Amino acid sequence: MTDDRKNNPAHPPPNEEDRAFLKWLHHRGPLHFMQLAETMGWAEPRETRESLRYRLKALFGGSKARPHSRVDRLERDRSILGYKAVVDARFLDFEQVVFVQVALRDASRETHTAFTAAINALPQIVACHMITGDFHYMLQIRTQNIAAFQDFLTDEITQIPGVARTVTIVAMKTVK
Amino acid sequence: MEPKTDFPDRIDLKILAALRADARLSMAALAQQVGLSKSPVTARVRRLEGAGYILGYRAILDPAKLGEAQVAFVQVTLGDTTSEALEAFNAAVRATKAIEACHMIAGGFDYVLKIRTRDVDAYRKALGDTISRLPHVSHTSTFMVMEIVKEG
Repeated sequence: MTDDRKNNPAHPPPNEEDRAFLKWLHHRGPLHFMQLAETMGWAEPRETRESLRYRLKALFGGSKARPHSRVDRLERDRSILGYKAVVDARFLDFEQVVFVQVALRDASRETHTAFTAAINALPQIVACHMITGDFHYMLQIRTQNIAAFQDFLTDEITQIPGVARTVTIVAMKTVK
Repeated sequence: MEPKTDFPDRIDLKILAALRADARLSMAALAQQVGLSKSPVTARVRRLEGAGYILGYRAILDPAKLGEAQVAFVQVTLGDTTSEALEAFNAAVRATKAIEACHMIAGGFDYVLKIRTRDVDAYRKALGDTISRLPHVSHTSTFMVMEIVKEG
């Protein structure tokens, strides 16, 4: 995965103030929708949620240029990638977390590419990192339960071209 | 006897999935995605928020831009796994900012931690100053992340 954003002169890296803002935003944690809207400058002063929701489509979906602001700049340079609801994992119906370390049969670019393409297409794989050590990748997987994971391992992961060996690490409890 | 409630139902789960992907969906767009009209969808979103299914909303940030480009996984073994020792360890983990995630593991070691630092040097420092000093840690084994392929 190459990333040319750093070398692109149209998007200079965030300055110190921007980085401080991003750090502050990151550590604030999940916010009520209107708090997020005020923080990011979407909401007008004392605007109601109904009114903002109604305006959202025009605000973000439209072709009108939005007023230049720190937030707009950070969205355009992809420091801010998007916005999401934070859902309590217990209610996602995919409570079981399992880590799987994967070794590929060889380290060629083709094998890596085919593997990462397959990984990106499987929503049960919530994270995938290339790691140092005896294995090439660490996957984080969410399934309903252990039985569902076992099926997923057998039917999907071991079937990905290039997968030679896997080690399964079952999480009993999520501390953080 | 209480009537059997079906909350969250399949539509609620669809709403959760949609808002996890994009929090800024208008109610009209969300309604279209899940196949209901705006009023019931708006009411469902409020209910999901009130019940704590939706903990809140946040911006998704590029970690590299935060100056936290290095990720590492650390397998940790404790020297003491009594309830008190586990609770002390868990509490210390929750209080440590650099630890992004932590799971208790069934297997040859006790926990896997996900650590985010500025770079490899900062990680080495974190390992020596912070992680190895967490309560009851007896052994650690680190896997540095060389590339982030996918992060949910």
